[in-house]
Amino acid sequence: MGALKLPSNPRATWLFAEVDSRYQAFCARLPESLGRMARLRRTYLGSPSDELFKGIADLNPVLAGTPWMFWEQLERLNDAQFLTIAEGGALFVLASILLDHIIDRQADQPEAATLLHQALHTRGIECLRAALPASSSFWAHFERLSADHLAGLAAELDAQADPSCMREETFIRMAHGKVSPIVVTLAALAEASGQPGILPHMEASLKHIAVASQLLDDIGDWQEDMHAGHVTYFLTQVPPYRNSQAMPAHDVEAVGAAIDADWLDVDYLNVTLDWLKKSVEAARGLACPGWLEYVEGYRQLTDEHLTVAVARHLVRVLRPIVAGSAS
Amino acid sequence: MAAKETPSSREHWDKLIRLIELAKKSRTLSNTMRHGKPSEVVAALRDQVGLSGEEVAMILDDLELIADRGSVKWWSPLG
Repeated sequence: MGALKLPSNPRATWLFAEVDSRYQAFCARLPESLGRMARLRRTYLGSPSDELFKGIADLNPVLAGTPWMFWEQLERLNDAQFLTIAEGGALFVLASILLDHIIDRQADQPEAATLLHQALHTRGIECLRAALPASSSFWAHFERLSADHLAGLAAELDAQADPSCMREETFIRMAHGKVSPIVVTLAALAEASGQPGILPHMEASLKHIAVASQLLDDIGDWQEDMHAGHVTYFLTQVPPYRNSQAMPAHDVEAVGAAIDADWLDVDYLNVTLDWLKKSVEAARGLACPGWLEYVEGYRQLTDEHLTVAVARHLVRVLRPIVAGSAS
Repeated sequence: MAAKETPSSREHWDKLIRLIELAKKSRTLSNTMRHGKPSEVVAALRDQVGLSGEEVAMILDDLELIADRGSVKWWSPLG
């Protein structure tokens, strides 16, 4: 689960490798210390080691691999157009990952990360400019999606400062904002391939999976989030803290008991499944078997989480009843 | 669903799966499990899943095995 399955097509494989080699060329042009940072896995993936970043294949496939996940829809582009946009999109997305780390105060060296962010962002836009003329309607999408990105990040900051801001619509705006840089790549590919009509479907599918993804993260990591004092939508739905101004004290046991009492994990895993279903429905009219298979994989995984969660609650409810009737 | 790991009968296993699937999807059963009194829970299991009190005791270990599955990793689609 999680790895990019490239289309079984030598051209697709070659283009993918070429984007990686363009990334290495980008790193080589950076000032030495930034180039070193750009080649480390932890810069983008937060791993604590000094492992080298293996390129875009190292990332979650949705981040920089969407041109290949919608391959059948986009392969009509010539090599130069496809590569320039895929490279620009990948750098633009990497810049957004760094920005997330800087804002979350998880960046290893925030000052250097800010500079690398600027280099990635600038080069990403240069590539998109090279691929799409100023008259292209792509740029209206670019402005709209950039505004969504900013609004999502700002909403996240607001919610961290004041958890009462974390309402459902805020949560959705945050998730949509996070995925906007990825949608920029798809908007560019849709426009350049003369298929503006496919963008709303791809965008909706990406936005729905972004909401599902954030929920899945929040349900799975609620204890770590509590320890870190990180406000999430899921935590703000736990009854004692619902609509509260401040995040709960680090009383993991009490929150766990409240989640168990209402089976909140079950409810929100069901909500996650609904968003994944919407993601599939939005893309159903497109030629994108790779993408549909990817989303379906996560739907199955979420369903498995739901099975485990339900079984856990049933054991908790039934054990005392069985013990009581036996005594 | 993973293969059965303890030797309860096929019928019990089918009922266990039916119980999990119903608890996932049926708001009525799920609400009874969450907030019902023990007698209401027992009645719901009997009426909606066909599980007798004895059968509930027999499926508990299998249910626990499913609940303890540690192999389900929390991958996130965009993580």
